[in-house]
Amino acid sequence: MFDFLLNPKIAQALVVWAGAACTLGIYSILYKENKVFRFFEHLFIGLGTGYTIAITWNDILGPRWWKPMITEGKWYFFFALPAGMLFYFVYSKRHAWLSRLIFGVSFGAAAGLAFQGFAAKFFPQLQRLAATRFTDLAESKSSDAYALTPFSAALNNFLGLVILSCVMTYFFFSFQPKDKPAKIVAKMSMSGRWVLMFAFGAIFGSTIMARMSLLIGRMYFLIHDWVVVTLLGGT
Amino acid sequence: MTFGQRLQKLDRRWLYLLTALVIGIPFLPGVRVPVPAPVIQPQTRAYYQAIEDLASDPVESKKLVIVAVNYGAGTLAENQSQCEATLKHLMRKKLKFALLTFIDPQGRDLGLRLAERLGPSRGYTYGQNWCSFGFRPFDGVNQILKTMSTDMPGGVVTDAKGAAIESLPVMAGVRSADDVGMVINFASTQSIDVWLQFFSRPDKSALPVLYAPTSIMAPEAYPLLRSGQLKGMLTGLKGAIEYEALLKEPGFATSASASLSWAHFLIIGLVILGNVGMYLEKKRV
Amino acid sequence: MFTSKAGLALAGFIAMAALLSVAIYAILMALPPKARKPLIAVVTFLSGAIYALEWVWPVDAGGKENFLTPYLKSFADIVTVLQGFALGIGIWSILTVHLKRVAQRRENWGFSVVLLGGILAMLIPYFLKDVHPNGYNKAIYAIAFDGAYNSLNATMYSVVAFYIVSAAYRAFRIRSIEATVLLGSAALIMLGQVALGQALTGWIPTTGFAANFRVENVANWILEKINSPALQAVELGVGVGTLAMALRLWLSLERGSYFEEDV
Repeated sequence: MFDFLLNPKIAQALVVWAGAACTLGIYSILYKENKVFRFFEHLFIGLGTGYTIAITWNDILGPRWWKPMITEGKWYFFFALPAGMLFYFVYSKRHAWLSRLIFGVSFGAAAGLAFQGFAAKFFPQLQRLAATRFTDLAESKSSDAYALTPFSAALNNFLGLVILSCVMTYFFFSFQPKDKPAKIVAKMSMSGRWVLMFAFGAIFGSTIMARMSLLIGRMYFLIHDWVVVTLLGGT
Repeated sequence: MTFGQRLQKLDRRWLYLLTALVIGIPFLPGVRVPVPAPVIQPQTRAYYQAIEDLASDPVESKKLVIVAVNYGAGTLAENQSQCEATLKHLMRKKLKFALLTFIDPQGRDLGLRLAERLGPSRGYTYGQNWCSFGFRPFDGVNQILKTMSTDMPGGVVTDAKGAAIESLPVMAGVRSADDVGMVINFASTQSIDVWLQFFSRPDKSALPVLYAPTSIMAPEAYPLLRSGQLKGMLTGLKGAIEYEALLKEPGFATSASASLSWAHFLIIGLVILGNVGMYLEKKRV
Repeated sequence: MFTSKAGLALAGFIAMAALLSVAIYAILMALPPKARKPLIAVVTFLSGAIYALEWVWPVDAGGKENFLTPYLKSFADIVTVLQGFALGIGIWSILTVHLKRVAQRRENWGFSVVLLGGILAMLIPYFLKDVHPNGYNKAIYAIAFDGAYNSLNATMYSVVAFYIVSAAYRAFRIRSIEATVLLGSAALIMLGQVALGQALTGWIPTTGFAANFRVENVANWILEKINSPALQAVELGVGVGTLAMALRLWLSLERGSYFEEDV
C-alpha cells in the first residue's frame, strides 16, 4: 500500500509538498491570526520537541552514558542517573534544594571556563591594540586595501583608539559633571553614545540582509522547488 | 483623506505583498532581472586567497581541512550557500576535509548531505578524501577541541557513521592539529571563539581560521579580522555571492543577488516614504 | 573494582550502585538546613576549580599539559550527560500542560493533540530509520524532518523579514539627529552590501583617493573603523561583566531571588 514511498521521485515530491504546506501555513499569519497558522505552529513545537529528545538520546545519553554502561560494562556510569535525577527535585517543595546541587555543577563548570575563555578571546585583541601605533602603515601596504594614503592609515588607527575609549567610558563611567575631569569624561561618554548610533545602524543594516536572505531562501523554495520543479516538472 | 494620512494608514498587508513580489519576481522562470556583478570585498577575497594559498603550499596542502558546519535549517539560505561554494572550492583544489558540528545537530545531516551530493561528480568519496566527525554537544566541545589539538584520534574517536576514525584513509597521518591545514567555521550562532581559544597547533605555528557567519553576526567578527585571528570572512549571503563570482561557479547565491538588491532598495524606499508621510501630516497639522 | 564488568556481574554492580545512590539520597535529605548551603557552595566551587586550576597550573616539561588536563575531557562528558538528563524537565512541562488540556477538553485542545502528535511524528521515524533502515522509514523520516521540520524552522526565521519591512515603514522616523545618524549609517551599509547599491557609485574609479567615496568602501570603512572598535568596546565590557558574574557564581557570592531563597 505504501510502495509509492519507495519511488525516489514520489518521495522527494512528498517532501517538497510537505515543505510548501508548512511554509504557506506559517505565512498565513501575515494575513491575519488563523487556525491554520496555529496548527502549523503547534506542529513545529511538537516536531522540534521530538527532534530534541531524539538528538539528546542519540548523541548524548546513548553514546556517552548508556553504551559505556551496558555495552562496555562500565557500571560506575550508573551514578550519572541519580545525579541527573537531582534536577527533578525542583518539583518537590520539601527537597527542592537538592536540585541546586546539580545546578551548582553547571554554574561552576561554566564559571570555571569563563576565565580562560575571556583570556583567549580578548588578550590577542588587547595585544594588537597595544601594538597599534599612530603611524602604523600596515593597511596602506595591503594590496587589497582601497586607496589610502599613509596619513589616512594613521588617522584611522587613532580614530579606532578614540572610539574604543569613548564607548568604554560610556559604559563604565557616569559622573555628575561638576569638576573639569568629570566634564571631560562626560563629553567622552556622550561621544561614545554617538559612535554607538553608527554601530547600531551598521548592525541594523546587517540584520536586514540576514533576514531578507532567509526570506529569499523560502521564496526560492516555493517558486523554484515547489512550483517550477515539482508542480510543473521543470528543472 | 489626504495623501499623508493615506501613507500613514497604509495596511501592512500591502507591504507584505509588495515584499513577496519584489523578492519572488526575479525567481520566476523566464524573468531575467539584470544585476551588476558584485564588488568583491577584501575579507571575501582574503577567504578565497587563503584556500588558494593552502592548495599551492606543497606541505600544507596535504593536511586536513576541518569544516565546522554549525548551522541549522533556519539559516540555510546564507550558510548553506557559503558551505556549498566552499566545499566546491576545496574539492576543486583536491584538499581533503572533515566535517564537524557542535552547535545544531541538524548541521551534521545538512553538511553530510551536501558533501554527498557534491562529491561524486568531483571524484570525492567518503572515507577516501573526506569524512564527517559527526555531532558533539557544545557543552563538552572545549575539551574535545583541546584533546584534538594534541591527539586527534583520541578527541574524535568515531566518525558520523560510527566507524573508528583511524580506520578511514582520509585520516591517515592526522595525529594532531599540526596535521590540520585550516579550520573553516560556518555559523549561525557564536561558535568561532572556541576554535580560537581551544584549538591550536602544538608546534605553536599559526593555524589559518576562516569564518562564514550569517550577516547578523558579521559585525562582531571584524575585531577578530583586524587582529589577524581570522584570515578571511564571508559575510552572509552577500559573501556567498562574491565568493561564487570569484570561483566562477554561480549557484543559489548568485541567483538571489537580484532579489537581495531590490529588497534592500524596498526597505530604504519604505523608510523614506514613511518619513514623507510623517512630514506631510506634520505640515498639515 | 572500577574495571568493566559483564553479564550478571554488571547487573550486580549496577544494583549495588543503585542502592548506594538511595543511601546517598537518604543522607542528603536528612542533612540539616545549616549544612545545605555550604554543601552547594563546595560543589559549585569544585566544579569550577578543575577548569580554573587546569588553566593556571604550570604545564609539564613537554609544555602541553599538566596533571589535570587528562581529566578534563571526562569531566566535560559528565557535565554534558548531566545536562542531557535535564532535558526531561522541559519535556515534562510540555507534556503535563498539553496532556491536561486534552484530558480536560479545554479551549483549543485540538492543537495540543497536534503538538503531541508532532512529538511522536518525529520520534518514531527517527529511531525507526536506524533500527529498520528500509526505504519506507527513510522516506517517512525525510517527510517529517526535511519536509516539515526544516521548512517550519526556516519559515519561522524568515517571517521576521516581513515584520522588518512593516517596521521600517511605520516606526523608523527621523525625529532626532541620533536617529538620522543611525538610519544614515544603516542605509550606507545596506547600499554597500548589494550589487545594485554598489552600482550607484560604480562610475567612481576603483583606485586613487576618489575610490574612498565608493559606497562599498564607505560601508566597509564604517564597519571596520567605527563599528569594529565600538563593538570591541561593548564586548570588552560584556566580557568583564561576564567575568565578574562568573567569579560571583563560582564563589557562591551571587545574590538574588534564586540564590537567597531558603534551603
